[in-house]
Amino acid sequence: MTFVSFRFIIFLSSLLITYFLIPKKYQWCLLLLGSYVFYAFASPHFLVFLFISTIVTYICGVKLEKLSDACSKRLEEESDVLTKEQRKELKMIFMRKKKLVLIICLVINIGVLGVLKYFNFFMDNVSSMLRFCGISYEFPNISWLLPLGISFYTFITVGYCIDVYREMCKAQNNIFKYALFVSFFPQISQGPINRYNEMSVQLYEEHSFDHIRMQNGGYRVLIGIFKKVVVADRLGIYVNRVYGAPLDYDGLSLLFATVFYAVQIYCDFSGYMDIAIGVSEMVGIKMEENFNKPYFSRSIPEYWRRWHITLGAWFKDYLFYPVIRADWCKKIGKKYKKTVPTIIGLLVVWLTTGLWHGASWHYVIHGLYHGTLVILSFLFASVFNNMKTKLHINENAKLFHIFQMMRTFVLVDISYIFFRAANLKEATYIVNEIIFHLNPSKEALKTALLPFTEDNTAIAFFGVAMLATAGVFICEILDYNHITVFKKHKYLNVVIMLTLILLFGMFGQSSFIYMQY
Amino acid sequence: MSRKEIFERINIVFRDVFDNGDICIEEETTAVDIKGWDSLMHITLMDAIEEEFDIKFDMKTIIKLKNVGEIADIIEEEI
Amino acid sequence: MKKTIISIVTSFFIVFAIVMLKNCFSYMLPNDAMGIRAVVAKGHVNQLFLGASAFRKGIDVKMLEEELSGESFVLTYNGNQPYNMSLELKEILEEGTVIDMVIADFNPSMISEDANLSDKRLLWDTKFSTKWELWNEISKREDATFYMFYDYFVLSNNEYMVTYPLSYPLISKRYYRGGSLDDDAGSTEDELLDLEVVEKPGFNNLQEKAITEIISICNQYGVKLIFVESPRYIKMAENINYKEKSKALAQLLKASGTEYYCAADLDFDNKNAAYYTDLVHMSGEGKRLFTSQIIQRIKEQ
Repeated sequence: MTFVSFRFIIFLSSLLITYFLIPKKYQWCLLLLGSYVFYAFASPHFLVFLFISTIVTYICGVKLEKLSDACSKRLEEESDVLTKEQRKELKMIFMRKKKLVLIICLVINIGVLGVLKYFNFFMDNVSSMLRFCGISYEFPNISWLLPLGISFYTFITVGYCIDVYREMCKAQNNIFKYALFVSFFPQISQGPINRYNEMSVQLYEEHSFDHIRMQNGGYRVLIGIFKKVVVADRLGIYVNRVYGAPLDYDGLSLLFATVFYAVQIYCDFSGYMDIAIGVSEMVGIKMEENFNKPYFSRSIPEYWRRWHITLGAWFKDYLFYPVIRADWCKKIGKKYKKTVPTIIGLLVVWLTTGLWHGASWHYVIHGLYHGTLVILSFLFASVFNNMKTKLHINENAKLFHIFQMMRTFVLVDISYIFFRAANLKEATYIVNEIIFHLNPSKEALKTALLPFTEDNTAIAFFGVAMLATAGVFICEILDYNHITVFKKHKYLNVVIMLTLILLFGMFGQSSFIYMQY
Repeated sequence: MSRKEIFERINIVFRDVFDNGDICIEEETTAVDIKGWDSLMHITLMDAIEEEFDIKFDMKTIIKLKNVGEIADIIEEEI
Repeated sequence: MKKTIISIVTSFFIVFAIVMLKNCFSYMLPNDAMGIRAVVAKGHVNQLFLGASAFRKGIDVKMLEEELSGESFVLTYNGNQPYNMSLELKEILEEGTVIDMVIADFNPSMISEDANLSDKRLLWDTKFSTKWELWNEISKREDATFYMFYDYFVLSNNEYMVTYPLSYPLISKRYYRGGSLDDDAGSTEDELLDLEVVEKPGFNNLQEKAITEIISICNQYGVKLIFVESPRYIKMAENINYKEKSKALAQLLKASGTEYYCAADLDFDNKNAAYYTDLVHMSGEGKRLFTSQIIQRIKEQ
């Protein structure tokens, strides 16, 4: 069951009605039931993996807290007896026990994700390496689908365990309450990757019906549906056609498709987030924002603070910081340059980011591409600053900001080629065609406008796709400059968006497909 | 060591890490107030403060620290 | 809360109004290069070519203009079936358009199909009554859903409507008297043999009745009617279902005394890949050869 479907509307309506009718102290129970019903419809065969992840991390959290409490108790009881050195020693003993528990939990949790998601990729690469050495052996591939949201709920649960380990939050002793935190249906399939501290306060408390909150949530959902079915799915038709067979298209078509893809993926992902956050708001729970006008970023590091925000924050707190604070990394920093640990940390993070997105080399390249840009940005920060001073560039000038935004967009769009292409070979072909074979002739423009050569409505379709893109762009520009003259007319916006959804929404394949006769 | 002395030493660290001799930190100074204080530089800053005061922050502290005043609190506790 | 409900109701009302206006009046907008309205606007057409896209791709309108006397016009819609063709012909003739001769598409591929709309432009060009008649037949299909209804009446042609000032001139430029001005390069034997043939068996009742209806309408309005087959590439022509359907269609026309010319009756080498862009549609070279064949047959009338 996806968010944009009749089934979901029925599910959500029945949930909301029941939610505000039952005694408030049972609301969280209903959310838990609803979340599991949602998961059962969306991904029934994989409930067992969600169970495993929930139970393993629940036990880990409880155990870690028991160890922390035991340690605090001992320190308090023996505070008069122990010397400073003995206190340190005691803390170290408990720390080691906690580390062991955490490591076992991480191995199981991430191990399940690793096997399900990366087994085939790993085996294919081993086969390639063996072939390189002259040994021909094909490992069997396991063909299975992934459990819905496994990449997300694994990160949510791992984050929880590490937070308990660091004593940043208290463990949840009620397994059902914990299960709700893990399976909460608005966040389960695509995030945001929420933190336990922020969510637990809201998930288990009582919520009264508030019509303002319902309207705000509904408004947010409407924006999400608009972005997804009017803009993203529409542009997707063009992008899928061209990226589905890139060798059949010339540089100009590939360029159009790549730019459209940037808009499509933003509207699709952020639209889904709007729906998730809006739905969550309707039940009284405020989730983290995941997007903040990313295409208005002035640098790649800034882009990653505005795009998939919770993922970046997760990697920063749970991977980057632990890596560069590790003793072995600090040793390297002391031995070589101070900047080396940061570079190592960034490489690890971006390699992992690439892999997290998918089990394929073109995703890894995508991650490393961004990692390289972030590292270069870090290393040459002072050089760039000096250049700006020497060239008398006014950093606060609007024109300079626009240049920075366009530059960042181009860099990001190049990375999308690697992200969207089916494989590395096609990605390099596309890059090559756009850079070296872009011949903007009238003929090329005609082919780019009419990828569906037998269907002359393609011009109209393309025109509306451009209008939709322009519409999104204008809204974002106004928002970025805090111009609220249109934004504040909420009811007018509802009328406009709903009308456009009903008239231009792509609710799946057209029923009437041209049959080539 | 008095709080004033701690602040003076912290200020020197800040000026060194951010390569800016004009920085003057206060109790409420946060990342928003200092140019370049992003997540990358945050760790560099924490490392430098650890070295300056011969203390060790745990991860909880590093992530949760909101302003310079809180840094000074921790330093006072550890010393 | 009240304002929210009013907003939602207003949206539905606006959509309803736009959809009704579109469905009732879209055919009135200027539409001179192709489609039903262009034919009606002419008032009197000497030779009307009625069929699907294979027909359109196979006919060279400039040659018709040079070689035939009077006005020729090509009326085609993608995936045009006999049932749709009967509705189109009915609407044109009932509006008082005078047609001397109809050269209809002898199209075995379409006679096995259920009612369908594979070219939404047909909805743009027709009056509401025709649209409703076609929908009635589509709704009788086993796989008919509410979404099909929504797609048919609400979603169709909205892009065209919104971009009309730009789309209409751009699209019209590609057509002349309903015929396509494209001059496509031919294919190769390897490429064509690689393509898959998808032909369903059987003669659908609706399509059979429709062909009889076309014959009857032409009789009623005194229109001379002949059927001509646009030769398919050999791989398709030899498909067993295609051959059976071809035979059945020929039998039906023969029984009603209607003149027809199958691919075999024409001097057209359907083994020559250069005449085709795929198994069904012709290249520029194929188009010119096929058109010359049709012109000959017409002159013999």
